[in-house]
Order: sequence, then C-alpha cells, then structure tokens
Amino acid sequence: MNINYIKKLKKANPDLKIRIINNIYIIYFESICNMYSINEFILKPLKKNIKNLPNANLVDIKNKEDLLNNLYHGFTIIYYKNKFISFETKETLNSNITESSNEKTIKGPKDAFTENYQTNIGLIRKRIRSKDLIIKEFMIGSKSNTKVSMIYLNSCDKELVDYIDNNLSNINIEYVVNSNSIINLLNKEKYIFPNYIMTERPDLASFNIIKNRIIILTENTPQVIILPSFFMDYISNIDDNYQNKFNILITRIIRFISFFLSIIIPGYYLALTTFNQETLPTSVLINFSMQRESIPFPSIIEALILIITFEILREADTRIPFVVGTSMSIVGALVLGDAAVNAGLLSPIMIIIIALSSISSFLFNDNDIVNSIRIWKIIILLLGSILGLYGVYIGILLLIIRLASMKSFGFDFIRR
Amino acid sequence: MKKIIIILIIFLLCGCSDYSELNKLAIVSSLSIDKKNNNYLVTIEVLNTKKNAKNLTYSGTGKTINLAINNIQNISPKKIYPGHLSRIIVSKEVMDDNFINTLDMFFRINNIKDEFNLFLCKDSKAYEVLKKLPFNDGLIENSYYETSSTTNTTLDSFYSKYLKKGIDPVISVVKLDNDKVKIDNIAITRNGAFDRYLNRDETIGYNFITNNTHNLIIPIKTSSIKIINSKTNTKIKRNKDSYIININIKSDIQINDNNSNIKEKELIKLTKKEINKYIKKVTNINTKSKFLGFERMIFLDYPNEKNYNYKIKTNITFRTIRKGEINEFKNKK
Repeated sequence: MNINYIKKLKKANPDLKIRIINNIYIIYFESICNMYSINEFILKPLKKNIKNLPNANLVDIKNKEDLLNNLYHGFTIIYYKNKFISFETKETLNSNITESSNEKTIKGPKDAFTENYQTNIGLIRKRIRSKDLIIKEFMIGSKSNTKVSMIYLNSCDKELVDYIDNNLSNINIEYVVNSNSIINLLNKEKYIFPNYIMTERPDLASFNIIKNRIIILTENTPQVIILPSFFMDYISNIDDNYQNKFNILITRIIRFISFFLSIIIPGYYLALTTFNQETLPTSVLINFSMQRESIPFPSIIEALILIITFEILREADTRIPFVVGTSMSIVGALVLGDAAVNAGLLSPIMIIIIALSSISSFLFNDNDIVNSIRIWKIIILLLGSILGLYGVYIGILLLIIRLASMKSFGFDFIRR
Repeated sequence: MKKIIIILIIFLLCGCSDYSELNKLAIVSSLSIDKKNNNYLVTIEVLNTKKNAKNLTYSGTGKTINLAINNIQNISPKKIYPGHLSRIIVSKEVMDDNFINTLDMFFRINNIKDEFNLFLCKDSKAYEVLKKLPFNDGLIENSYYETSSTTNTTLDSFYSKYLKKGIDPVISVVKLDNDKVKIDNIAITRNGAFDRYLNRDETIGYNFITNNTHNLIIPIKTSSIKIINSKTNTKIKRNKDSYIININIKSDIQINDNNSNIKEKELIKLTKKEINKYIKKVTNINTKSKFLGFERMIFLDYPNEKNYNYKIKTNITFRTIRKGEINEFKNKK
C-alpha cells in the first residue's frame, strides 16, 4: 500500500485531488469534502509548518479497504513517511430538516427524517437521552457501501435482536436502493398487508423504540423501518398521543370501522342489489332501482369500471407535478362525477359506494396498507358478485383467517 | 392443491342462480285476490322506478293464485319479485271460500316476507281498493296507533292465532268511501272463515281487552279525554263452576278539552263508564268465534277443562298526566 496505488485511482476518479505540501500528500474527493475545513485546518497549518493538526475524527489507516472506505466517506487522507492518517472533512450534501410531507400531524412535532444518516440518528438521540439506547451499525451493499443501523433499547427482546442482527450482517447485495430493499430481505414471509411500519416521523420512531421495538435506519433514505408491527398500529396513530384520549377513542373506532368498510362495502352493495334484494328496506330498494333504470352495464362491470378509473386517477395524481394536478383532478371529478351520471353510464349510488370505500381507505397514511385494502376490496367484490351475501361472508372469513395467521418477525400480527 | 380444490368447490357448487339486476325486477308492493267465475283474479301493484310516474297494476287470472301470479308475467315486462310484498287485500268471497288453504301458498314460497298486512275488503272488489290505495302512506299504522279503531294484522299473526287452541284471529277491514280508501274497523273469523264485522265501539272494546290500545279519544258530552299508554292485564280466577276474568286496565289520561263544566272527578267517572260500555258491547256479541281469547287463557291454566263458562269483571285505574291550566284558574275564581 503506497502512494502509487492512489495515483492509479485518480485515472477513474477525476474529482480525486492529490496535493503535495512539504512532501506531505493530501488526498481527498473534491465532490464530497468540505473545502473550508480542508483549507483552514489542513492546508493552512501545513503551509505554516505546524505539525499538530486539530480534528474531531482522526483515524490511523492500516489497510487498503480502510483507506478506500474513508476516502469515499468524505475523509481527507494524509500520507507522510509511509503512514496514512485520515481526517474528517465531510461536506453535508443534503436538504435541511423539513416538515413531513406524507404523514401529516395537527399538534405533533413537525420535523421529519432526512437523507442524512447522522442527522437521522441525531433526531432520535434528541428524543431518547439514555445510555440504554443501542445503535448497531452495518455496512451493506458491495458497491454502494451504505450504512444501515439497527437502533433499540437494552430491554428489547433478545431473540428478535439476534435474528435481525444475523440477517443484517448476512445480507449480500450490490446496491441498497432504499430501506425497502432491506426490509424485503429481512422479511421471510410475504404478505399483502405490511407487517412493518415505514415512517418519516422521528417522534413515531422514538415512541416505538421506547415500546421495545427495533428501528432500522438506512443511509440516504428518509424512511425508517419499525418492526415488528401489529394490526393495532394501523388503527392507532402517533398523533393520538397529542390529543384528548376520550375523543381519540371515537376516532379509533371510526378508523376500525372504515378499515372494514372500505374492504367490504362494494362487495356488500353488489350482493344486496343483485342477489339478496329482500334484505333491503322497500324504500331504499326503489331508490336504488330508480338510479339503475337506464344503466347499460351489469353492476359488477359498473363497479370495476369505477374502481379502475379511480385507481388510474390516484396513480396519476401522485406522479404528475403539483401545477398540473389541480386541473387533472377537476377533469377527473367532472368525468367521474357528473358526465358519467348524466350520460347514463354509471349510477350515482355506485359512485357514492366506490368513493366511500376509497375515502375510508385513505384514513391509513401508509401507501402499502391502502394498496392491500384495494386487493381485498376486489376479492370480496368478485365473491359478492358471484355468490351474493354468502360470498361476501366467505370473503370476510378469508380476510379474518389471513389476518389472524399473519406473523410479524415471530410475533402474532393480531394482538393487543 | 387443497386450497385450489376448496376454492373450485365454492365457485362451482353454488352458481349465480339468484342473480338479477335491480332494474330488471318488478317490485311488488301490494296484491289483491278476488274471485271471478270460480277462478282467482290476482292484481299486483308494481312499484314505479321511473321518475314522475305512477305505480303500475297488472292483473291475471288462474285456477290457483300461483297460476294467476304466473300469468301476470305474460303482461309485465320485468320479472315479478314478491320479496317486498307489504299488504294483501282479499275480498269477502275469497274469505268465505276455504281461506286458510288459499293463504297457504304465501308460506310456502320462500322469497316472500310473511310479515305483510292482511286486509279484508268490505262492499267492493279488492282490486278496486288496491288501485286506490297509495303506497307507503302510513294509513294503516297511523290509524292503528292514533285511533285504536282497527288492528294490525300480519299474515304471520293471523296464522299463528289460527293454529292455537281457544283463539280465533281477527282481520282489519278496508272499504272504498267516496273514491278514497278508508280503514273500517275489524272483522272476526271462526275456524279460519269469515264470521262477522265489528263496529267502532266493539273494536275499541276488543283493543282494550287484548292490550292493543295506544291512543284513543273518548268524547263525554262536549269534552274529550285522550287515553295514552293504556295497558291491560288479564287474570283468571276459578270459581266452583265458572271462571272469573279480571280485566285490569291501567292508563294515563289527558284532559284535552273540558268546556261542558263537568268537574274533573266526574269526568273521570264518566270515562270509566264509557270504557265499561265498550267492553260490555264486545263481550255480549252473540257469536261462537273465540276472538277474545278467553278460552285460550283458561286452557293454558287448566288444560283439562271442558266447561268454558266465565264472567267478566273490569277494573280501571287512571293517572291524569295533563289537566290543562285554564280549568284550574277557573276553579280558583
């Protein structure tokens, strides 16, 4: 290991700078280093022949891998008399702490995780100032060399810690895209419903650390993984802790109802109107029948058309820029709401049913939950359209069986 | 593999046999049964599902009611769906002719609710009443709860009373009055066949005895007293040869208008007399029908009894809940 090795490296890395002052080699990456600290604390003292360089983070380098690692993490390497020493001169290459954009809060703290690894750890440390907090770091990705850490309390379940520890250290991938790629490798069982929480709110993360759960923090991702997670985590929100607990009880009941409502209501409506008409009150039946008078499609086709149109609108709304978004939602609302009804293609009650179902699924801010609700909604819709109420009950039974048999990292998914 | 087989069984063994879209159903709300040359004439009222249009009526004839309804399908463009049938009107000829067996069909067809109202049509054809009777008007319920001069007969209660020993069912009566449908008290039956009509006073008496009085206005000279929340408790006592039936009526009363200068106590006494008169009228009817159900009460307590002689005693207690301020003011002066 000598200076020639680094000179070779320079051919492929144009931003690698090598400077020589008084036979001392100073090596750094221009793109990820802070020029000010290199100037002030390394170059200036060396020019003045001062050999004592002050730095908060100073490492003696023993082998090639260490050398490269330090270089790529924004350290400056000093080579002098066959000795490599690295100084921390990292540049912060990220946005400031901003408000959480996906998870809204009324009264809670407004800060959110960022892409910066150290800032994220800092946001958690700020909330849990205890010696019991353990942070275990891993380097994952042979090409990306991403820092991944698991954060937990001393009192956390030992088996769970060992399991995740083993799995994280045995991960063999080239590139860590996001925290999602970590959880996909950790999670051995594949479910439609997510059995982990992904959040960008540090208050939720710290709250869950206190509840003896494990947090997995990945460099360059603002999303943090909390595991294990349970069904009640869908129903309860961190925001509940900032509000009157008696009022929150009702809010939770509403969330619980809307979870099942959004899954069941389209199938239930279809079963009632095409198979079990005798269960509806007469006046309601006349009302429904009036609305369906001139509709050319069978109810199931009508429902599927609406669900698919709505999903297209939702997908488009998340992808297109904000400026175009408003005009598109106007078109969507007009096409769906008004024109289709006036043209006699869709019945107003079906629009109400599908809209109610979709709106209630948006009570859950995790996109994964919304998408899994969508799949079950369609399963129960199809069962209801073939078998009537009998089919809907089969579907509900299947859903309950599925939820009850789910495991989240060794823990039962449904528990209190 | 097991899962696939189970799912296949679920889907293949129960097809979509009951499938029907809402807009292809003719929702039947009322049905009337008449007799015409030894055949049944069945008329149905189909609820209108188009805006600003009237309900449609279709008629069909056949040797049996089932066939007559089936024949209507030749006229109706939509499939006849009797699941929401809410009332059946029968004419007196139908009631005279083996009525219980006629109604048997409605219990056997499984997509009919058996909780619809049953009416006997007085002095006219049943289909004429059907065409004049608007849907969902609340006529029957309101008449029953507010005037107590009729009763709420469903097919279910009619049949269950018929099947029990010692009691005969009654049926509410409708008739056409100046082209409008009017609720006209009740008719009593014997062994499932028509026996006789009751007038208003007898019906009120019947409702008092059977604990069916909800609201009732009793006129005394030019004053009127409103009875609310009346409850009747009937008990039997055995004497040597006969039984004594104690009818205890407890009710709240409300003095609505008192402009005949009768004192309150007097007024209450007169009201009690009036109620006693109603009860006497209904118990003195000369009929073999057991529509009051006293025989059943004796039978339940003394199953081996063969001698059903009884005397009736009534005991009425009132609680005045609202007197009105004007009267008190007058007395003070």
